Amino acid sequence: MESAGRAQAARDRVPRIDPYGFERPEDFDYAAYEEFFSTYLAILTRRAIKWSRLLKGGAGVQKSMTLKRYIRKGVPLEHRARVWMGVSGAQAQMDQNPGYYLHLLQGEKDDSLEEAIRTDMNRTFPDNVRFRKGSDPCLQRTLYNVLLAYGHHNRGVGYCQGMNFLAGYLILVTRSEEESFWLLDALVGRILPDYYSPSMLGLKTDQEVLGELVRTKLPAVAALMDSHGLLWTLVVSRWFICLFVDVLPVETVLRIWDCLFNEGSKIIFRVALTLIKQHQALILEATSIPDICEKFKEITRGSFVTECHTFMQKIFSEPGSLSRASIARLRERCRARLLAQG
Amino acid sequence: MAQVDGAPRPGAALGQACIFKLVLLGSGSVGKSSLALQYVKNDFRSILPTVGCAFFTKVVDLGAASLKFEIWDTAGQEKYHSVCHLYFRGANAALLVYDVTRKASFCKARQWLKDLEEEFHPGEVVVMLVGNKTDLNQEREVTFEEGREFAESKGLLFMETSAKLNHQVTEVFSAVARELLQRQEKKEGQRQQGDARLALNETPPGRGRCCAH
Repeated sequence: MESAGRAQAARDRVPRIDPYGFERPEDFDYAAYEEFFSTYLAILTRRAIKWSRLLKGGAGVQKSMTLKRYIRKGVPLEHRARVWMGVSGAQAQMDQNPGYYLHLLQGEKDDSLEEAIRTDMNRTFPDNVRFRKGSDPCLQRTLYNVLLAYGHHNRGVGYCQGMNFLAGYLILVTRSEEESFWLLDALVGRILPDYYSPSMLGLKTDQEVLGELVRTKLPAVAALMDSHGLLWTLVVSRWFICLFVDVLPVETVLRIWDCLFNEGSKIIFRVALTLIKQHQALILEATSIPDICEKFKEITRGSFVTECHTFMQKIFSEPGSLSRASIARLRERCRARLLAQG
Repeated sequence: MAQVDGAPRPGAALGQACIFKLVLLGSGSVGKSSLALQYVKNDFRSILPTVGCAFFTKVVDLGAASLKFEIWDTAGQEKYHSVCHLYFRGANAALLVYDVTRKASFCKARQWLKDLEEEFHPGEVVVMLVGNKTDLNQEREVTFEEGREFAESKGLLFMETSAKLNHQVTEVFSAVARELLQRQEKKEGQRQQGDARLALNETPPGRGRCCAH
């Protein structure tokens, strides 16, 4: 009874809509969230003070060891756009190409590209009040512009489903169309190796790479997957394609992206390995393919992923060493294998 | 690989339902995920585009017999084609879904059929053509007749549905289930007669053999 009362009280205190405009799901655990957030709020405040000091004077964001440490501990929302723009090189691109974004939007349009993007407009974040038709301002138009401009900018990629979620988050964070465009370019064009091209070879490669990493670091899980002939793509494709959007809680995704923009795509493996390692015992209970699929959904929910600050500490300790060189080697090997398979 | 040969997998214990793998194929935004969601969870809402693949299971009770569907819901966007091919493997049934208000999606369903024909032997997989979104009848671009004629010409099952209004959704899956069970019974009958042609199921997934279309 007492806990029911506490849950109701938390429900009354915590807003139904989160700071980014997402409606909280029906089964949202308000009590657990409030408990976590009361601790997290202290961390956020402490970090905000440190960041203000670091960024004092309004100079550009310079990559450094200090900055890396700061970023791993989380970038405050008010500085996020600036930091992402700085460390990803998006700011430099934007500065070097004034007017380019508008030029893309004013040029001649590819009909099939427009059609493909339009199809997904009502289907991108229907649970976010700012993306709903009739909201003011309605971010659907912004999203449409960013994706359309990007499709014309990078014709080899055009528009690939999944990019709508990435662009949507960028818009929510930057609140700027042009910055979202350049950040999307940083992600799709530089940080993620060839995920969205027609063959999606980079995506397939990275899913295989994760499989290899699991084989080395968590052999029992790899054995389970093998024994059912289950392909990694079935359970983790969303993780890679959407960079955890709609997989993990919003705040956790943004913390991951903080590091992704600064340290590169390696972070995705760290997150994936941490999720799997933490829940190894649970995953190993699975006895069938549907079971395994269900477990892989389960491990993306609950307090372990909601408590983003602890989670981010874990991704840098749990998976152990993960050198850039070994990832590069694995990518090369998996890529060759995929190409040989045709 | 599990289930490479496309034969239904018997249930783990005696008396348990056979498991059949069903894949949902079709263009983006024709309602593949909505059909699955309506069928499995009796729910219709705005769904995010499927990237990669989603997965559901449902037990179908047909009175005298029952079976279990593993429903593999695939991404519709062309880009994901090469990824989706992986999900074909070992399928027992496929729903080729199009949107009755979009002619292009109907043409795309024909394309998917070609892909299936390249991957499977004739008769190896039960295929149903499904025209979805009949609730948008005013905006129709594909008539019932067009759908039916095409399905007949290719020997496919055919139905029109509205996932939104939950019209004919269960019927689609039940019809596929009945067809699967009938074919299985027939095969077993033939097997008992020692028909050599029945080695079909033991061959690896059909590559290089096409239907004569």
